Amino acid sequence: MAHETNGQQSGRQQGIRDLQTTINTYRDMLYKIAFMQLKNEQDAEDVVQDVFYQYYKNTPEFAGRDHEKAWFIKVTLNGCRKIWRSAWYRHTAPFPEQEMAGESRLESDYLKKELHQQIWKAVYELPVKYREVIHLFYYEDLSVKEICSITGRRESTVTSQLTRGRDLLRRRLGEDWNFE
Amino acid sequence: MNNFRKEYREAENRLYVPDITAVSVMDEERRRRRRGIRRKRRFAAAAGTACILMVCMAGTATAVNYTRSVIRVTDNGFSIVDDVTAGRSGGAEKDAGEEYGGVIIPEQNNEYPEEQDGIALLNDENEIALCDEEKRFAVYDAEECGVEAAEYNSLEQLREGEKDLVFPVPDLSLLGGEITYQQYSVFGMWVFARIHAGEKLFMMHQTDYRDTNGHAAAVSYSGAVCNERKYSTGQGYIYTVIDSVEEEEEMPRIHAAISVNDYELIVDFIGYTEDEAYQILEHMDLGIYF
Repeated sequence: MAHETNGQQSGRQQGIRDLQTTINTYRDMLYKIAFMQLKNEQDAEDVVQDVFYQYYKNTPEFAGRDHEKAWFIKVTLNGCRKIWRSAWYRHTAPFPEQEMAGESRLESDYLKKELHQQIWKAVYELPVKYREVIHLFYYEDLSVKEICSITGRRESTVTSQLTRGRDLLRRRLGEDWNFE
Repeated sequence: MNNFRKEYREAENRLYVPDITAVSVMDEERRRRRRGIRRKRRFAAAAGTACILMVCMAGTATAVNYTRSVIRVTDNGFSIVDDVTAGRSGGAEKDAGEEYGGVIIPEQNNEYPEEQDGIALLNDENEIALCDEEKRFAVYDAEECGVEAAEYNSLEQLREGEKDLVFPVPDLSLLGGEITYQQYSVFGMWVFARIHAGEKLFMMHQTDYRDTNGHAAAVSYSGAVCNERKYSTGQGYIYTVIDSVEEEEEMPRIHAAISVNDYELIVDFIGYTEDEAYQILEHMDLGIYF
């Protein structure tokens, strides 16, 4: 059995630390995107694990932070579509009842939680393409141009999907919502 | 007035995110195990067909043979529940399509394999790696889960390979164009056909529920759904028909669903006029379901 030299061990440890830094940077963002697509915790986690595995195996080079972020989002969306592409994919889990961080007994917090559940449900019940652009626009703060670049859709398509997504959300949530 | 951006961000920030470590990512053995677990989980859910609601409600009831399911049109497609379950749950208002995520089918705007978003998105060599991995998955699936999955590239191969299969594929000459691509997939109780005829795309999904005690499922299409209507064929079969609309797309999309005995059939027409779609439905022999 071959033994690692001290240098090799040190290099490996550094590689693990670097990978962990990258994971810590993008994990939350990618998991939320995958979960939004798949509405399933295990599948979302699997997709994100696979994305980081691709990153670890292929060590892609990036022109900058924005390029790196876009790469991660694209690969995550692709990973989700791979699961979707199977005609036998069945999502039969009930609407996800996520554990909410920082549970509180205050009535105001309870009302807030109810509001957030309502928003969540409204977004998650949108058709996936509207859900996707709504999430990337409102949560990731991406511009329409950036969303076009990542999803490969035309600007007019993304704009139209955002408009339609907002319309559907207004129908579900009521008219007293500002979508700026 | 509520600010959607602020509230949505707060809602998303409440989402529990599992811990992912570099060591777990790098662990090849763990990846293989998780892949197997993932496939078994997916196939178990698919083989059962019914959602958790059905498991709770079927209880110890003996097998129920139904001659019809309740087909409803949702905002995004169809939801289909066997009539016994629909009756128990208070009618067609409550079914898997509304309560649960439902069945996810491949994105309908990717009519041509070479234009699938998933491939067009990536511009680097990861694209190749993903496709290879997908092929390895296909082989691993059948071995790992004991569910036979078969694919055929022609109707002749399908008939030859699946001699007992009941699947009412219409005469291909009726599909309105030169047949340039055919794919038939048989996976346990599901059969799927995809046929390119000139500029048009014809697809059929069939599910065989003969060995289930009840079921609830849903089909979602990308784009909004509209123009719900019924079409009765000359043989007396009544399809539920809808259109789906995708932004920037000129191509019409028509979808028809029907339940006959223990079979459910969904037919998708991409690029067909209504008359052309109905002509094809007329020539699909659903008598084979009896």
